[in-house]
Amino acid sequence: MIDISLKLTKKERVLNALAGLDVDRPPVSNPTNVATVELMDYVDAPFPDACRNPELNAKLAITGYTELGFDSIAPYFSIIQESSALGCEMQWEQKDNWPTVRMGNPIWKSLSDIKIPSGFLEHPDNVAITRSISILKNEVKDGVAVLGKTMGPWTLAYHVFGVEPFLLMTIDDPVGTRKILDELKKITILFGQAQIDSGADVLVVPDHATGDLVSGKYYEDFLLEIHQELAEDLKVPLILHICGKTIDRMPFIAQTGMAAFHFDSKNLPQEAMEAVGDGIRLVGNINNPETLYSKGIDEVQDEVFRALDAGVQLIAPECAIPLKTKIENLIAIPDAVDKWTTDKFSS
Amino acid sequence: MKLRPYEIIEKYGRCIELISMDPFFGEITVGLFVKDSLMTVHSYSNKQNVESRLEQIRDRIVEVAGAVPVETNPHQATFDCKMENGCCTAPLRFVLKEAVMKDRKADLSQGITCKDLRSEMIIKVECQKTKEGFVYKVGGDGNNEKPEIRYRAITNGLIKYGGFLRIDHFTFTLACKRRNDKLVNILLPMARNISATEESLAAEDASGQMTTQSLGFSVN
Repeated sequence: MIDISLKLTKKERVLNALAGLDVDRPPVSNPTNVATVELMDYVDAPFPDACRNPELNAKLAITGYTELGFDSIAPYFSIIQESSALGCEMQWEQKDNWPTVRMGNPIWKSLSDIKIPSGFLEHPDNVAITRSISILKNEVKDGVAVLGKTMGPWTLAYHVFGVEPFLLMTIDDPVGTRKILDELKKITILFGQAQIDSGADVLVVPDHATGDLVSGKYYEDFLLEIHQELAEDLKVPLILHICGKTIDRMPFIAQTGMAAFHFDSKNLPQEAMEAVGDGIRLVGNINNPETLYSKGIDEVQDEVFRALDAGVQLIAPECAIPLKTKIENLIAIPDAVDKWTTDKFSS
Repeated sequence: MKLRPYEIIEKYGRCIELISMDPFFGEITVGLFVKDSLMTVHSYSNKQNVESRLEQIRDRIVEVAGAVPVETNPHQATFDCKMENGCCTAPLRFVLKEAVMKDRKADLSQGITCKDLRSEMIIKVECQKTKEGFVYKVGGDGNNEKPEIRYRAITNGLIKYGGFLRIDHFTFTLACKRRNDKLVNILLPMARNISATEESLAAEDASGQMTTQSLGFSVN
């Protein structure tokens, strides 16, 4: 429920929305990156350095709050930090592109290969995130929600085994695949807990069992139980993130016990709300490549209104935004939420 | 004092094009903002001498696109038509790219010409003054079996990327009916091969996007 008489801090707004409690307006809370090349210039913190250096990371991440007006800060910009610490071959790219794992050269082949390296949490690419969270918490105290991020076992499996070998494994040896996911889950928990210990208020769990590659039944068979365990083990609100069309698995996702699901614009907000029912809150789902990247503030506003009218509880871009997104379109998101709230509730 | 992003937007208007990395100046990001009749070249970078580089880019916009410098601000320019109703803004994506990414002068010594990519023809665009204003006509040396097909395709490309007004299959005007040979000249290489230009624009747009495809998490 929205009660505009409440006077919430940004953090309270996010946490209330994730808990299904009343808010003074829907929060604008990005589970994934909102840093752009312009913001990198603004604070002298370009990629890839800002992904690897905690001070630069924090400087860039906080602009989501200070310059864009979002209710949360998400310092883990990409999806590759733990995989780098595990020893995956990396392509760090440059300022205007995303660092990626070279999945064509996977580091592991089977369950027996899975070993968490000693000093995993002390690896510089993991410290970049945990230390950044500490810096950010020190800076914003309890004023703004700081969102950590820890990759789910399915995403980790893509990185360490390669996408194709892993998917074939799910067909050839489903029992062994479950054991692998159980082992990789330990990495999710380890890095997630380290971020909680550093001060993360919320954890995002990207686990890319996307509609492009696997069915909703796969989600139920391989991931539902694991995600339920993550929700029990990690004692902060969790936001599951899966890109692509996910309507077929949303009813299962609603049973995970996680606080929210960050969903893609390939799913209509109304359709998504119906699919999850009261089981989980939704975060999203402003389209990136068309709306935020290519269109203008009027179209951004229309899309925010569509999500809010459908009942989506937290507003955000659907995924990590394109790095060349124009700042005006990002500022338009909280502006649109304010306008919607004023129009609906101030009379 | 350094302006914050929302202040920049208020002051300079809509950012209509961004170059994410300037190859000639410390890989800064350069934006072209438009408000009313003014274009402003801007960067949030704090690098030393960035102001000089922005002035250089403004001067290159003047040089390559026939814009008019604003005397009171070294980072601003306009067009003779004052860009009323968005006139002359459609080609600015190409203009900024040329101004930032290239280091060559506009060469109109042979008129508005370029070698066709799909024939042996030399394409030529000529400007004529009429009662209604300046009209551009696409032609060439005719060194092809059916040259009209190519002239027509290139006219379509110029209209697509320039936001020009079509008169017939081979002629068009700027919306303001003024003459700006440099603006037409900058678009001609793109107009002669629309499919390649579209592919190049799509590749540029895809760079920096995080999608299931770019992450390798898709079969598409």
